[in-house]
Amino acid sequence: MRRSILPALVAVLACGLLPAQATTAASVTEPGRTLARPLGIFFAGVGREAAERTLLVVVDPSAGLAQSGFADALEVALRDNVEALARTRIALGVVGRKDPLVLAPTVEHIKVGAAVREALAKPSGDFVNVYAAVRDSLSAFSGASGERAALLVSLENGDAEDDVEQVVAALSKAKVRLDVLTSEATLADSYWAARPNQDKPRGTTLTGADGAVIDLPWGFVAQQFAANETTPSGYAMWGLSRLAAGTGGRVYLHSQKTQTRHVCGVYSQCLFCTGDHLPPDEAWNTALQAQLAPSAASRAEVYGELGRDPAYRAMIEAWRAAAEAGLMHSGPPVRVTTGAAQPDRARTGRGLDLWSTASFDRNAKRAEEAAQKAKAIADKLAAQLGALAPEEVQPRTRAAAEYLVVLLQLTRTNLIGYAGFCREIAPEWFDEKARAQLAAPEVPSIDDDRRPVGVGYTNLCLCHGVKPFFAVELPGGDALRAELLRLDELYTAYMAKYGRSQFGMALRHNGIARYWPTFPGIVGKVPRVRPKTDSEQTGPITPRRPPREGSSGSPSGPTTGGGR
Amino acid sequence: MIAARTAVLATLLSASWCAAQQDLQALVDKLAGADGNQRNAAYQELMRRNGPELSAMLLKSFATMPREGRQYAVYLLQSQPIDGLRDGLRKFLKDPQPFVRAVGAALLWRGGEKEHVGVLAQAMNAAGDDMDRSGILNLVWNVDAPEVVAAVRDYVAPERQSGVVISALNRLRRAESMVSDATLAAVRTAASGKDVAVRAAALAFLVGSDDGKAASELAAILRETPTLLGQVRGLLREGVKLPSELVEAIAATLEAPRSKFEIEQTAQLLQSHAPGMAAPMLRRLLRHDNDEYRAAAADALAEIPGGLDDKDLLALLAGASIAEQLTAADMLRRRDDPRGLAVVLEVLPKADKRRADAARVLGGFRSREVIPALLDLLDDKDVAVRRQAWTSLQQVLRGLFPYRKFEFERSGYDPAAGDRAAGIAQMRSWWQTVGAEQRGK
Repeated sequence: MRRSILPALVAVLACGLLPAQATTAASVTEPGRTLARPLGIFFAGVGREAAERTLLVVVDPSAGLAQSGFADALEVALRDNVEALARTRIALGVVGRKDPLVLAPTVEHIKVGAAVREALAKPSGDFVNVYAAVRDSLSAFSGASGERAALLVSLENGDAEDDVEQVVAALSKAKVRLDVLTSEATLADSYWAARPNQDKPRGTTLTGADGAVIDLPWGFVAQQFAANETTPSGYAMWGLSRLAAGTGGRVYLHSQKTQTRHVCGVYSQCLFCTGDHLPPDEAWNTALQAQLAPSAASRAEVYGELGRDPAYRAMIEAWRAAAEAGLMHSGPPVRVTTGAAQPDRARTGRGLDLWSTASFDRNAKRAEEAAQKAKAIADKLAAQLGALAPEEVQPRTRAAAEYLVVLLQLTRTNLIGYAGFCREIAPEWFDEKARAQLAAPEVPSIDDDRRPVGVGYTNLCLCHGVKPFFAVELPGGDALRAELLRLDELYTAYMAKYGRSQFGMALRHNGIARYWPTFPGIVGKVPRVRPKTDSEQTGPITPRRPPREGSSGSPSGPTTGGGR
Repeated sequence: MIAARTAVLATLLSASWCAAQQDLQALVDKLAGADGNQRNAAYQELMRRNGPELSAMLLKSFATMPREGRQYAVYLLQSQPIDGLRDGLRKFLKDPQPFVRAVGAALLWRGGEKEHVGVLAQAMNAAGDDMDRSGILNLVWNVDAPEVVAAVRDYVAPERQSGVVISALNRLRRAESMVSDATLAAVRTAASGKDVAVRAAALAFLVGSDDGKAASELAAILRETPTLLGQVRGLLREGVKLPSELVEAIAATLEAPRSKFEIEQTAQLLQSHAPGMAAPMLRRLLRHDNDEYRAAAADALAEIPGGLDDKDLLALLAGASIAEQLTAADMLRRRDDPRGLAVVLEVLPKADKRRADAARVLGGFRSREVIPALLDLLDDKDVAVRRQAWTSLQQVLRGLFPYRKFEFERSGYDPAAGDRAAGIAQMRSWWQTVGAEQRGK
């Protein structure tokens, strides 16, 4: 009996230990969302006696930080730790300045508070390179004795990435531990990947995901926006987690209290509530969330890990096939070779041309053909995943690959629904006889007598699950009903496994598409473009950060259910 | 001829203007009157007719107005462009009455004339009684000049009315991110006063700034007078860990709540300090007679991880009272569990005074099953029930038929109308011929 249990026990323990051994974002991220705790810990230091220390605070003076009450919190923390800071010199760096080190190490801590207030008095809305600012502020430690630590405070700019490993190396060389106070990133954020033409600071790349690579497929047909852009990850952007992980530091996340309210669909509409939804799995399971955390190793190491993961490899293969079949707008950001993964140039998926004409019959046929391919790719991926043993696969890549299976089924459902719309609803909407027969309280859905030029769609979110859609009148008849049933099975199984985590929330942020015909826009008089004048700025300027589409106006990122 | 017509027109216009002026003056007189209802009505009317003429009248009569009307006058003046008021307000600065001087200086400060801050501080110090002090504190909410903050600090004294002390402490909490020694000294003195509300306010302010004595004393006061929590809750410093003794006393106030707001606020406070303690207290409120309290408790429980579980809700759903069953059904529905629907449909015929509430709860379920019941309620004897059923019906139909466009008024149904039969017949007819089809199913 003992012999039979032992191997299983060892296997269970080994599985349990695997994630803990790796450096993940979970292993460097502290719980809580306040300003007081990180500042308190950073200034209190270790040990009861006041030790000799040199601390550097690097502040990114964004509007979000100015509004957060950071200056007050900093002064309170300095006051509360007066004894611990008795032998501590504190320097201040401000991101966005040509010479970021604005205050050399000083024991007059009151000056730090005043300088922070001054920096935050004129917050900046520019993209700035916080990594360069950290690197350029390290001169604060020259000749410093005792413990050395730095705190980077940046709520909005960790996504303008330059050479992260170089910063880690510089910090390590200077023997500086870097803690980070930042906002939460979105899960495998694809926002900037979808907007490659955005201006950015020279020498940087716009990233922003919680992991080193975008490891959750995005850009599915009939999804208006990617769930990757709105799903909180529970962790910081990879670059910031990496700085902390590489130097023995910690990551603290900050969010405002108002950010924790549940919203069913960020970009989508909810058919089933009026904002009073209380999903039973809203509060995340922290152990599961940690298990699904991205790696905080270097990007090169991450590529190595992913390349060896068979679930990841299968997912990339399916992602590429889906993009080539026109089921996704995005292609995978990596290519996998034998036992390795390498970055690949950004590719877009094949266009199916479903939306740009009002040839409803043609659109319906194309949608049905694409739906067939979605099924084939999803079935193949599901079979591949089913054959993999749990210990072969990282939990995060399995979650992402299984997400792709569900999303391909959702895409198939939407395509079947689209075919139904083209065959059942659209002709009825434009049939004068059918319109005349409508009985009150119903009125014709279209009150435009022009010819349609295409089809548009919005999404009805899946936050309440798939089952409520069974009662909803949707186009597609029995074919759609069958696909909804299959989707419900997959959705339910996925949520049972990942519902209380970032991946479950990502799935809920997708939706069933609702279609409508589009009409030619009414274009007003185009203003005359005047020739350039002498007053026009010609020199290089720092690009301003545009407001993120769909954002609630809150400057400091999303917040997990677990962050309350 | 033309000149004569012009003269007549001018006379008419002048008469009309004079009448309007007299009317305005009458309203201003009512604002200064003794009747509180009339004052309030006059204020509402004057808010609509606010303009330069009114400002001139208010500036002229302000100093002689009885105090009850002055606060309204201040609100009206505050809503005027400052440039039209400057001359009049400058005259206020020399008035013998401290409150008038304070109004002048504070409004000018808001308009950028910060040089009168000394007059303001002096007027604050000279204020004759707590009613004036209270009014002045409303005026200086955003004035951060040290002289004014010092004058506010002087209002924190044991002999002052609790309203003044609480308002002053709230102002100081905002003005001093780090509490000054002078403020701490004033608050400690107030904490030793006789008035229990003043003491409670001062102790709440001190929690986290001393060795726990304040928390202990405040807990004792709250056990005796739980209603004081609502007044002093805002003075507890954010981020300070409350001692368990105080948390227990705060939790105990939920035994006899006085408002929905009170429940929400106290639950929020407890959630950050002792979620384990908040949940049992809130669960008890799920059986409270008051609908709003039950709903507030359910909402608060939902915010606590593990605060609400299906077991509790199912027990409530099987409960004796219809009110509890409706609350449970609604809560379950919000948690994606439709098991309450059948119960609501079952209890509807005997819902009596809860019919409107039942109609509201039914409207939350996007289910075809609720439509016949809502159609029946369209002809309820109570107009409130009919209104709610009509709203719920529209909500459900829009959710169930996203590809159909509705203009519900075209059905001819009006819940307030006496004759509703035709409208209801139209709605039933639509539902039977179109809505009940299961397209896509």
